Amino acid sequence: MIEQRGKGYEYCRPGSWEELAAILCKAEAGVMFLAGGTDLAVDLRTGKKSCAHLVDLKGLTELQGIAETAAEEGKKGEICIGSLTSIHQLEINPLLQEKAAALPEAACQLGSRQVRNRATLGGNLANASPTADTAAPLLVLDAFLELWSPSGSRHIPVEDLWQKAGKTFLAADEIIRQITLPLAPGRGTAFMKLGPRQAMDIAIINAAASLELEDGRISQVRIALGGAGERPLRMKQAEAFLLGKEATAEHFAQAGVLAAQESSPRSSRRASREYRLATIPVLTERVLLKALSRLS
Amino acid sequence: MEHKEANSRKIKLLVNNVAREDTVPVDLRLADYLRDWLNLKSVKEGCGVGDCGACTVLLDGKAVVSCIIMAVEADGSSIVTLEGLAAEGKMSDLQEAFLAKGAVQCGFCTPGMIMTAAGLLAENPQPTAEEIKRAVAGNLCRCTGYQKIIEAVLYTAEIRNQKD
Ligand code: FES
Ligand code: FES
Repeated sequence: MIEQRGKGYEYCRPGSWEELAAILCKAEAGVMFLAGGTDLAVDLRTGKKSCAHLVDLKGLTELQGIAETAAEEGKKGEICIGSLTSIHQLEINPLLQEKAAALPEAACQLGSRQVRNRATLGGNLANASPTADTAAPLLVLDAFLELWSPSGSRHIPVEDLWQKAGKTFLAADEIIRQITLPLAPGRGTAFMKLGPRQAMDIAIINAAASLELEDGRISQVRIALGGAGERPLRMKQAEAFLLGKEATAEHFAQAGVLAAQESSPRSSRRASREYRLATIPVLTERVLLKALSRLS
Repeated sequence: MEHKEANSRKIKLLVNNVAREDTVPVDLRLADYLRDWLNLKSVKEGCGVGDCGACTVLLDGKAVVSCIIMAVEADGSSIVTLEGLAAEGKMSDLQEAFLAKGAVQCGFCTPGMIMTAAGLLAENPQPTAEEIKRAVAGNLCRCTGYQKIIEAVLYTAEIRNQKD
């Protein structure tokens, strides 16, 4: 039998919000939350990360699920996703496929099938990887997050979640409870990723776009890139350039050049800064074309 | 750095349809629990970091890699390993298909490959070759070149659909 040497953390799996609040109020420091664990389990084992209390959120079953709220007078419809919904659930959800295509498109390209069965949307966001595959789609879908801590809940736009690689603005006792996507019926969205393999790999660059047209001109546009900076970023200059213009490949290519200008990618083991800068315009143009093709 | 002994916790779960109750260290991996504690040797460790698929088992019907799941996380769930597919010592149709199609060479990847395929077929009884390729993208095989593996899964689906 393998000798197991503990890293000395306590494990708990609260089954209710009251129980979770009680645990968090009692634990002084060193709390880490466990969702799917597809990254954290390895980091805890190798010692890259450590904690005193590992709080498994999987006991809170209400954190799982995808539901639509229909539009009412003065209020847009929305899709609400529990933070512990698995990446695989996003991938196969017909509602998302129809109304927020960029997200399931990103989900089906994340890791292996085994990882997608286990990894969660909230975990992918809270992990704060600059190339998290679900980040760029949520940015172009104008997603906002409901955060919860024992002292109450608050809402933030998804943009405001990340500080830098591996670091969020979440308080030490705060979790993501729900991800909300406001619906926009006339919108086309898409996701694309550049990596060495078609399957499994972490992206070198990933990109998402959403587009709306009015009388042949772009009336609403969002572009987001992963791997273009320290955190997933909206490309606001490229967006401003496209607004009001005709949706042509030429304009999209120009927007791609602007996107590269407002990016500041790092060199990493996976790709150099120069390579990333060279591929950003191409991927940006292609993802815009793909979003456009979803409009008709 | 000082390491104290891991804390332990009692877990109850179903493994290959047998109810189990064990007190395990909180950082014991599910792969080690299955292989070392329960002697289910089909659960292999290749990479230990979730990339190779050799340790794949079904958790509540879904293929997962057991090297990046802690045994405590499986509390309350149902696990199936390759041993659980061969009811009463008789191989399942999927296992037979792997043999018939020559999809096994050294065999190291085979249990994981078959468990991933079992999870796929449960959800999608008539997968295309492309869907099978995508499903086993996280199962590395050093020997077969994958083609025969894909054929074996297609063949299983075909036989099952003829029966219905
Ligand atoms: S040993 Fe678990 S995925 Fe490689
Ligand atoms: S048969 Fe040898 S690794 Fe697949």
